[in-house]
Amino acid sequence: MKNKRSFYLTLNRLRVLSQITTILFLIAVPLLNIVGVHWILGTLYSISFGKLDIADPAIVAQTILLTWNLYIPLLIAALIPILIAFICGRVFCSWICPHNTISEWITAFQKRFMTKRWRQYQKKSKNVGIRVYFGILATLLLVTALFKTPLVSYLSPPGVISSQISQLIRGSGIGLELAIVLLIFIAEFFLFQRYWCKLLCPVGAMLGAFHWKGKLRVQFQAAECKCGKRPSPCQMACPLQLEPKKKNLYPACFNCGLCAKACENTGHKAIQLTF
Amino acid sequence: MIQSLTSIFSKITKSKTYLRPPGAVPEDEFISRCIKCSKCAQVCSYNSIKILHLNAGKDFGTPVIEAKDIPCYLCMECPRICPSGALDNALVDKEKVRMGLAVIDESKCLPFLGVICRSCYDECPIHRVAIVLEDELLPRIDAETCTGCGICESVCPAEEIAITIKPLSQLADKRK
Repeated sequence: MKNKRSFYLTLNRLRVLSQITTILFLIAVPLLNIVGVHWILGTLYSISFGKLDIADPAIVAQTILLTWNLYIPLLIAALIPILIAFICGRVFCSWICPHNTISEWITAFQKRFMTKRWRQYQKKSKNVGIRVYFGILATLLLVTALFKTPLVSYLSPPGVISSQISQLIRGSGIGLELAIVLLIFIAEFFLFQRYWCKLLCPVGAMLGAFHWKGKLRVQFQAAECKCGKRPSPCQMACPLQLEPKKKNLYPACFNCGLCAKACENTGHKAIQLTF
Repeated sequence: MIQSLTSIFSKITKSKTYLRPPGAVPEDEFISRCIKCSKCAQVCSYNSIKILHLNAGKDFGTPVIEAKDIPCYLCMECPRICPSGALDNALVDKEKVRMGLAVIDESKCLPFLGVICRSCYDECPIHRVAIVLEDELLPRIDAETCTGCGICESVCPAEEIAITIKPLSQLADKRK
């Protein structure tokens, strides 16, 4: 079936469409608010459609730690992201997060104009251990609780980017907090590594913590792996410099499906993104 | 040791007192509760609510009102949309808002200097209650009913603004 063969290509096109729609959406919301439409409000920290509130679980966790209090509407607001993360993993990162979108553009630039160095670094891909990954999140939350500082808000690039877009459009300009995000971009540009999304981001890690084992995952079947290319196309395709064929792919993998697309391109089906 | 570290840290990042949107819970709790989603600023039709940038200090992302520029017109849209309870969702009556308290500096206020002026008295949204005229001339603030919206501050025609809003958090500090 022709349709079946290009499934991951279509999936990736939908993903890119979703990323661009998100950016346009973040620009549209404050514009709509200015002309008087108030049923849609918010940024990627928390967004609301009419009476339906959706909040970032990492920020909700931070609020609980800072207030030692369970505010029920806020907990309910975190349910939708938690449910999506439970079934599909960190698809927020790969389909929505504007930080990842911009990082992917930067990587595309490196791949095209600095190919040699990019390949050299991409070959050194490595998976992240589950202890390291959640250890970093736990440390961040611990510091948040100990110092009574909203560290997760500072270190939430999707939140900072979206709220800066809103502030800029509402006429209060951009602030220094955008420097946090810019520093990440600059560091990653020179390091050729996506450490932020792969290791450090509290927003992604919190979503990853809810990803349940049996649900949407990149599945590797060694028996089907026949393209014989070195380095393997799936590894070269991974935006986070992970190795799709090895264990420990999760929780760092955010289910973008680019490795499955690369595998599909070679005409094989060794890597599938399935439930 | 942790406590001393925390105190040093909070000294470094000591925050100023800001006028918060209507329905805000006490300052310390407000800082912890606010999730920086900007919804209150977005829903504000008058653009009264601004979001602090990092340039202003560690409380960035939280909403403030600069009454001097654009005061709060008490439309009561923002408290009900706050997702985290940093603004009291149940607050509907504008009379019940307590954001701060207007304070008159009699050395600058025109009626006290012998010039007839009723700007603040005329514009006060809690009309003839929160600001009353003593001897039909001198404005006096009724601390019980003043909402702290800041409309008086924004309309004061004196060269140096004679009526200013003291944010609730600042008042609480003084009482201690």
